[in-house]
Amino acid sequence: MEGIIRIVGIGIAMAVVIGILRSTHTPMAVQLSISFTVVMMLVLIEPLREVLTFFAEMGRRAGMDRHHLEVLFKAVGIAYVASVGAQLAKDAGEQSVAVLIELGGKVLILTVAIPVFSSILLSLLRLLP
Amino acid sequence: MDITLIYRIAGVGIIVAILHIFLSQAGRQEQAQMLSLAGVLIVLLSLIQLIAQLFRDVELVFRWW
Repeated sequence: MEGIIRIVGIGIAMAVVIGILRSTHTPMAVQLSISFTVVMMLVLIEPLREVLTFFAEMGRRAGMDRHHLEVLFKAVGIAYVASVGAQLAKDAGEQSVAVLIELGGKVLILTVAIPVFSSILLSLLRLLP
Repeated sequence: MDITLIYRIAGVGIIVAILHIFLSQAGRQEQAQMLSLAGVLIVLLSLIQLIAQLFRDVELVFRWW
């Protein structure tokens, strides 16, 4: 419980400070928001690792193929990081950078999912007479 | 990873902004710009180290199994 209170408290304080800095000193405000995002992501890595380990264990016990679970996790990770990065770019005022970051995320998710697509396709082709 | 790094960066940012206002009010425009540029570069160094550590940790978590 005190973890979320700490995160929200520091987030609100940072929002106020960034708002003050943005009027006088915009690059510093951008850097402060980026650094807050990065530090929060570092803090959240530990609980995230536990959740991912739990899901991996469940998947292994259910007999699911390891590669499919790996693809799923990678897709979730890429989507998350890309959305955070795009939001940061929009905060800095760079709309085109944000659009390209999101496009990169989409392309990379498709690339990572190619083995799953191919295995689905092969299964379907095997089902056909 | 502790939270004091954010406080440090916020402190540097506020100090640089205040000094920038003082210097530009005192008429030394170019020194104010130099100072703000120096502050941005200092924060950028810490930021790059942070991002590198974040990417290392993310890679560790996602390649773990």
